[in-house]
This record gives sequence, C-alpha cells and structure tokens, in this order.
Amino acid sequence: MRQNKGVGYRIFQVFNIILMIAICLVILFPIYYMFIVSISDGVAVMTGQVTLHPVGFSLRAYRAAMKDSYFLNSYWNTIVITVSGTIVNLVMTALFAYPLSRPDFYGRKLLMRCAVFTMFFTGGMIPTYMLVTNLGLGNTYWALILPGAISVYNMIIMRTFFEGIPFDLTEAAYIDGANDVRILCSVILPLSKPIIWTMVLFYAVGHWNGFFNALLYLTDKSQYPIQLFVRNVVLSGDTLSMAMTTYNSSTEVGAEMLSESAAKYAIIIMSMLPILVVFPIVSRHFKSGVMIGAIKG
Amino acid sequence: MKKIISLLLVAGMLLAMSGALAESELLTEEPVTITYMRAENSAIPVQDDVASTRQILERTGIDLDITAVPGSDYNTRMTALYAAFDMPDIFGLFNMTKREMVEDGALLCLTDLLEEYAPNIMAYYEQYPELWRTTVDGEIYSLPQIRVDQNLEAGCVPFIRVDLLEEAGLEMPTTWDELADVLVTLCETYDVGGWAARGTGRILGDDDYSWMNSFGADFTTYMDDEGAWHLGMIEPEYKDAILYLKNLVEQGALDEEWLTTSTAEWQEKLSSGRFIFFYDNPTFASGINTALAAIDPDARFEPLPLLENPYGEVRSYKQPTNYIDTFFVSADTENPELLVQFLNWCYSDEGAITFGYGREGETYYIDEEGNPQWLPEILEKYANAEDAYYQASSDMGVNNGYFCPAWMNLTIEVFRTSANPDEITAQYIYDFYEEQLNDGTIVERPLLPPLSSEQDARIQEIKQSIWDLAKTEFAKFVMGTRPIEEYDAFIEELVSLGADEWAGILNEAETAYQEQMAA
Amino acid sequence: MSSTEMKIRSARRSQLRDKLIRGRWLYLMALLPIIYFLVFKFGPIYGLQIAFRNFRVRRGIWGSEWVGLEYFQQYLADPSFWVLVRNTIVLGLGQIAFVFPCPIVFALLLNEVQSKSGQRIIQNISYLPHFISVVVVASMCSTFLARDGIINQMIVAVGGEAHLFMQDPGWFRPIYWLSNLWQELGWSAIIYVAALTNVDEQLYEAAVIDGANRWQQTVHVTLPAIKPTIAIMFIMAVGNIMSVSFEKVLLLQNELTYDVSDIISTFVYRKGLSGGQYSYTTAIDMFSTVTNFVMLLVANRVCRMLGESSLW
Repeated sequence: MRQNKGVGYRIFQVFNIILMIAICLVILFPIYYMFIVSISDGVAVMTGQVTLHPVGFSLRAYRAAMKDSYFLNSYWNTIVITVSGTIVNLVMTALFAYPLSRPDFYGRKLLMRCAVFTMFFTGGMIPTYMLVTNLGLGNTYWALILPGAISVYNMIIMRTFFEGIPFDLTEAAYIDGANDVRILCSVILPLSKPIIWTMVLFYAVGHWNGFFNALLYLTDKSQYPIQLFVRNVVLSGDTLSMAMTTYNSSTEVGAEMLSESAAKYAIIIMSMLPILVVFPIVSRHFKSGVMIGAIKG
Repeated sequence: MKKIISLLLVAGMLLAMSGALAESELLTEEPVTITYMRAENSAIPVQDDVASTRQILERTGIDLDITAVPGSDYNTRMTALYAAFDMPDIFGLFNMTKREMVEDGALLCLTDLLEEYAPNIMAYYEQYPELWRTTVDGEIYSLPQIRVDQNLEAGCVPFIRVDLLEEAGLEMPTTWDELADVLVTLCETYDVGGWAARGTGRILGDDDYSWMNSFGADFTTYMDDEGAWHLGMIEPEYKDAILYLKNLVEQGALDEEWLTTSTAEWQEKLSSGRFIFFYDNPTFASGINTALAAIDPDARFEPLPLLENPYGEVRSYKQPTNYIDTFFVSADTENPELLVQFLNWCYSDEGAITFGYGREGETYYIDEEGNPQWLPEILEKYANAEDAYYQASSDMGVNNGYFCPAWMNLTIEVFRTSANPDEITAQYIYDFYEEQLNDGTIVERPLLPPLSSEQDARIQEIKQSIWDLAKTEFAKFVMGTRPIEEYDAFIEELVSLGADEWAGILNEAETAYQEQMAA
Repeated sequence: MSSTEMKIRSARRSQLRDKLIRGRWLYLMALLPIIYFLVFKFGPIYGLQIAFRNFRVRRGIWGSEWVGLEYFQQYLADPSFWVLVRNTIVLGLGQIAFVFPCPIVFALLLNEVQSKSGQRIIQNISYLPHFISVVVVASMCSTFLARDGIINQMIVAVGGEAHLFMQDPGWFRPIYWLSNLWQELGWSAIIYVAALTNVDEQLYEAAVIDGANRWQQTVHVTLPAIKPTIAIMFIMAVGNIMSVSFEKVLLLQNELTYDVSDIISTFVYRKGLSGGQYSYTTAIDMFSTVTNFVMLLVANRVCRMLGESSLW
C-alpha cells in the first residue's frame, strides 16, 4: 500500500476533505435553493427573505403549475418521447454495434470510419432541417427521435463491450445451428445488461433534457416537451396562464401571493424530478458502463 | 355620439349585405378544415375546442383549426414552415415581407376572389380607403383586422404610484422633464426603483407604441406634420430621448434590467411595489393594482395626463382602429373559393358576434332588440374567477387572443371588473384621455405607402444591416456601456449603412402612391 | 497476368463470397443503421450544396441558381466574420484552458480521500449536474444572477453592490465556463478516476522504496499513468473547439452581450432559420465545420508525433 504519514500530508488531507465538501455544497446548493424558494411564502420570496432556509410554507407555486394544462401535457409528451425514443435508440444502436463488433464482419472498418466521420463532419443545422421537414417529419415526434437514432459515441461504447464477450460463445452457438440474430438476442444481449442499462440511461436522459429539436420541428404547443415548456416560461418570459395567477383577484386579506421566481423554480424542480429520483438508484449501475467506453475511447 | 351613430350605420349596412347569405346556409355540405396559425399571447392560451369554433362549424361548415405558437418563437416557426412548404391556410405576418412572399409565389392573390365572393370585405375597402396602402402592385394579398365596435384604446400611457406622489407632497408632473425629477425624488425618498419596462421595444421605441412617440422621437419610420417620411433613429430628437433615458439610468430611476424583463417579471416588479412608474399599454397593467393592494391598501397606480415633451408638444400614437396586414392566405390552400367565402362570413355581423361572444345558447343570447348579450351563467362563472378577463377570452375563444377578423373589442370588458370594480378598464382609460383622443392629440400612426419590388428589396437590405445593430448600440448608450461621445459617430455609421436612404425611398413611394390615387 | 495471381484473386474472391454469405444475417442487421446513416447523416452533407446556390425556398435545391463561392466571399468580407470566429474560438479555447484541467485535478484530489465510501459519495454527488438539462442550467444562471437573484443578494449582504451579470459582456464568458464546470466537473472526472484505479500498485511501492513522497509519487507515477487518457480527451476537446455548446450560448445570450456571445452557430440559427437567409448561413456553418475538422486532424497528428495515443 501507499504509505505516507508525514505531517504535511495530514494537513493536506484536512484541506482536501474541506475542499471536497465545499465542491459538494456548491453542486447541491443551487438545487436546494430552488427547492426552498419554491415552497416558501410568496411575499417572503418577493421581498428577498429566503436565502438559506424556507420562510413560511406555501405550495401555491406547485398548485399553479399543476393548474396549467400545458405543463401536465408537456410532462406526458416528454414521457412518450423518452420511452419511444430510447427504444428506437437501443434497437438501432445494438443492430449496428453488434455487426461491427464481429471480427469476421467484412467491411467493418469502412463502416466504422464512415460513422466516426459523421461525428465530426455534419451537414449542419439548415440542411438537416430541410431534410427532416422534406421527409415530412415536421410536427411529429419522429423529428425528435429519428435524426439522432444512433449516437456514434454510444455505439462505440456498446461495440467495445460486445467485443469483450468471448468469441467462443458465438462459435458454440453457430455449431448449435443458431443464426446471428438469434445469437445476438439469446447469447450476447443477456450478457450485456450493464451496457444496456447504461445506454438506456444515456439516451433517456438525452431525450428528457432535449429542447432544441422540439423548438425546431414542433409547432403545436400541445406537442411541446417539458424542457421547451421550461425554457418558454423561465427564459423567454412567455409565462403561460401561470403568470396571471400572480394576482389573486379575490381581494380577501391574507390571500396567498405567488412570486414569479417561486413559480419558475417549482417548474424547474418538477422538470428535474425524475432525474433526481432515479439518479441515486441507477448511479451505481452505469459507472462500469461509462468506464468501458471511456478507457477504450 | 357621432361615432356611435356612424357605427350603427355601418352595422346596418353590414346586416343588409350579410342578408344575402342566409344565416343557416352552410358554405359546404361536408365539413372542411381550414388551418390558421398565430402568435400566442401568453396571457390568453389558445384552446382547442371552444364556443366560437363550434359556432363557426355550425354556421359555415368550416372546421377552423388554430395552431398557436408562443410569441417569441412565432417568427422562427413561420420561417421554418415557409421553408418546408408547410404553411397553414391562414397566417399572420412574420419576418418575410409581404413583397418577398408574393415574389416567391407563396401568397394567394385575393383581388379577384374578393370581388367575386366577398362583398363584406370589399365594403371595408370602400369604407377605409387607406387599406389600399397594403396592396402589392395594386393587388390584395393581405386582410386587415377590422374593429367593428368603438376603439377606446389610447396607445401607451404613463402610470405612476399616486399614493407616493401625494405622500411626498409632489405636484403631478406635466412635462417629461418634471417627470424625471419626480421619479428621481421618489426613488431617493422611498428607496424604490423608478420606471419599470419590459423588453427593448417599450424603451428604445422599436415597437409601434412606446413613450418615444410622446417624447417627440421615434426609432422607426414616421411621417412628420408636412407628410414627409423620416427614419427616427438618425434624427436629433432620438438622441435627446436616449440622453433622457441615460440620465434616468444614472440617477437610478430606470430599471437597469429593462432589456431582459419579460412581461410577467415586469408585472411582478410593479405589483410588488418595487417600481413606481411605467409607460405602457394599460391592458397589460390590469391586475397590478389588485395585487398591490394586498401588500399596501393605499398603494395605487393611476394614469397621468399626457406629458409635454421638450419641444413644447403634447402628442402620442394610439392603437389603430383596424390592424392592417393581419391575415394572409397561403397559395397552397386547397379550395381558395371556399376559403374566401368563409373569410367573407368572418367579416359579417354574424362572424363578428361569433368572435366576440362565442356560441348562441352556450355563451350568449340575442335579446329583444336583436343585440347579443352574455348568458347569466357565463357572467356568474367568471364573476370571481382569477383574471376573468383573460380566462373568459381563452375559454370561449373570443376576442383578440383568438381568430377575429371582425373584432368586437369591448365584449369581454365586463369580465375585467367582475372581481374588482376598481380595475383599470378600457372605458376608464378612454374617459381619462377622451379630450385628447378626440382633438387630434392622440392619433393613429400613418400607414406606409406600398413599395415597388426594388424599393422593398433595398429597404430590407438596409433594415437587415442596421436594425439589430442599432438596437444593440442604443441600448449600450442608455446603459452607459458605450460612451455617449461616440453617439454622433455611430449615427454616421448607420448613415453609411444606408439609414438615410430609407426615408427617401418611402417619400418616393408616397409620392407615387398619391399620384396613383389621384388618377 | 500470371496464373498464380489469377488463382490468388479467385481464391480471394471466393473467400470474400464466403464471408458475405456467412455474414448475411449481420448485413441484414446492419441494413437499417446503414440506411439511417445514409439518410440522416450523409443526406444533410449532400444538402450542403445550398451553400453554393442562391437557395429560394419555392424553387427547391435543384431549381435554385448556382452561385459558386459567392456566399463564402460575402462571409469573409462581412464585418461580423471576425467577431463570430473570435467569439467562437475564445469560448472554445477558454473551455480547454480553464475547464479542461479541472476534472483531472478533481480526480487526483478525490483519489487522495482515504475513505472509500466517502469517495463514492463525493463522486456520486459530483456527477449529478451532468444529468440536468441545459435549459435548467441556463435558467438557473439567469435567475440566480438577476438583479434580485441570490448571488446579488449575497453580494449586497456583505456590503457589495449589485451587478447585472447577465447583461455585462465581460461576464458572459466566465458565466459560460463556470456553468460548464459546475455541470461537467464530476462527469469528466469519471474517466480519470477510472484510469487512476487501474494504475499498477507496484509502481507506487517501487516509488516509496525510492523514497518518493506523496507529491513526487503523483508527479512521477500517477500523471504519466493517466497521460494517454488525458491525451485522448484533449484531442476530443480540440475537435470540439468550434462546436461550443450552441444550446447553452443560445439560452444565455441577449442583445447586450452579442459582442462576445454571438458565435457562429447562434448566428446561423438567428439569421438562417429565423431570418430566412438559408444559403448564406449554410455557407458559414460549412466553413466552421470544415475548420473544425481540420483542427481535429491536426490535433490528432500532433499527439501522434509527440508519441501519445491518438484517436486513430
């Protein structure tokens, strides 16, 4: 083991721990802060009293968000896009990664080169836009799913994993009379659970977080995904019916006020919720997958 | 009174004309879908199945399918759909010019179709001859939004916290210079921000209505009293206006965040008591006083009489009675004849009532005198609703937030005061400025003359090179991030990019148009 | 042609045929992805020709007039050319100079934390932001840094003066880099952490025997061990200089900061897709893609010449 018990090193250790804790705080504080503002009393937020802990308690921001039918709608849209998009991604990526992982697959070098080439050389925004709309994909979720069906980077990670599975297994399956499709489904994939979950996570997060393609290709507001909704409300100031609830028309005293920032943070927090919930559960599983891709590059 | 009589006359005339088209006669046996796309006002979300579209379907057989795009993305979306040949049947203007679209063959030429199928629309061209200014080479490609009831609007007007003014014992400001002093004093006394504004348009004047008009300056093109066109941003008055703003910023009396403030944030700044003045369309201030009262019962924004500008004038622009270039028809529309017949219906009395009241028996009824009235249950439903004015408009698909070529703009005013009788209504604003609205102090902005192909192309070219640049740089002068000493040099730069040609082209076009109309 | 050559050729050909037949299922599998690449990846590259045409929407690509390099010349003569290139490169280079080294340092420091469970907790927290969307990160920047935002509240609380960060061109780049750092620190470090765990313990033992202290161990053992990983990541980063995170810049910029925040891709989006100048902006986009590609090739070559690992 590495041994070193000098005084200097002890001091370094203390500082190092403090630094690490500070980094963790810097990472977590913004999320914590948005949360406490979103549940604090509206007047306290507007007058700037909320800094380190919630002041008062009000779920008005969340109720206002839930009242906006477009918010719930966009949430559902994102779920649809994420699920269907991820399935397409997985199937397509596996269909490409597996043949490329086979040393006996003639032409794999060429195909690989072409794929990597597209990682660095693209047609750019406008030709892509023209193509997608000319294919009639505008205003459909296909426009968000198909153009990015295979991420070359993820495909390489998957291929590398497949390459690590002993070729003997494939040979043995051949002798048993299985064809390549069967081999992929019943030999390779069952052994690839960690990489599949990693891919699910990568692709799903990508879909969940995507907004730009939706901005480009979707017209109808009822089709918008959650991130576009968040962007419109928080950044473009296209505050939907939510903003209007700022003013509680009932003149009764003590009516709950809703502050603009509490409403924004409530929407942000809810848009992150699935990730905040799922993240601790899956984080253990995907690390190994990332490393496979990372090390072999 | 005169106005009302003339309105009645118009209404009578319309009624007579629409008589030709019996009320229950459908335009088509099988329902036909017509698509319309518009920019959405965030306060009035466009809903799918509403009273007005139901009535349209019942009375015409047309299934009107409205797609709404958030205001800030509308231009991008339309440009994108334009590039993809995927235009809706009817749409509003976006950042292609009318001329460009005509030359691309993207717009349906309406002249002959209107002559044949649309007497209601042609009657408006008779009534408002200035609508011919919107033609391209003499042909009609766009339709206006006609306000069929009274125009009570007064443009952008000044509002101030009168309670603070009284408390501090200050006189009501009557000139722009006095206003600056008052704002500075109040900011210092009460430790508040002064003037809150939203976006560039309201401050720099690139919106049609802003404080600039009243100050005697303009960002865009305007017509002087002699009928000559000018480009406001290169005129000396504009520099005075920029200096005025710069001074307010330096003294802490203009919100430094004006550039990035959204409408909702702006409303919160005002309704939380942090800012005490605004110069804006009062419609958007609706609700601010109610919210303010929750924090301080005495706090109240009230309008100021129009301020006198440094050149000794009192003036302002108001919203036009009719908005021009509001509806365009795609050249790819499947059945142009039917579509024009439908548009004709839209400009009829029946159409106007549908867009103003929704559906008979569901939201309104016709009283003994033959006038539409809200059903009692509708009035009751919105009596205590939050933001009833917007909510009602959105729920029923009525008024300006939806589709209304013939616009009864006062029908939903009743909801504005239902929850709070003190709320600022259109009538209140009209009464406050009535004198100036009627004596020619507050006027409509003159319409641009029609342009030839070359004129349009050149103006587009100039606009592309100077418009955004000017907005960015003027904002810097206001904020003090670019030294004001460079102002004149910057104007020279604009001129070198063709800014001075712009007005010349318009004057040329104006002369040509006048001659053509005389002939 | 000699008969042996003929024989070899025909043997090769039959070998190839065998391979193709044997792999028919594999080809079938790859068919869909190959179509995908042809359509969605090479299709737009084919569409790049609108950069050489005066593209009018309603005439289509083929009906639009061929203008050669006109748009490229126009771009090079455009005063905004240098501004855009400069902004793009500065933003990208800054990313490499300020953001790129941080995860390496973080990984090294994390490696020095004695408790294994502590290491795991810190690491798990550190890569959480990677999964937060760019929309949310930009939203956080704009609300936290607003006049009444938490940052200004803190500054005022300690006696400072509130500052409008989002409107200050001088702050645009730092905000961009710092928010990237916040988001990617832990995630980028995963790779280095993994590389660190693979360092041969014997090397350390040998170093200890030679009397090396902890610092010397880091310099002489750890860093050389992870150098190949750093080299690969560096090439990738250089390859991405011109393709700075377009979405984030788009969401963070405003008119007051265009001087420093307008990059090639945001300009293409604004003037092209929103403004309808398709050909001109496609030419600009193509210019930056080609530049980017060349830079990647150069970086790769340089790394190979220096004897480090390279992408290919």
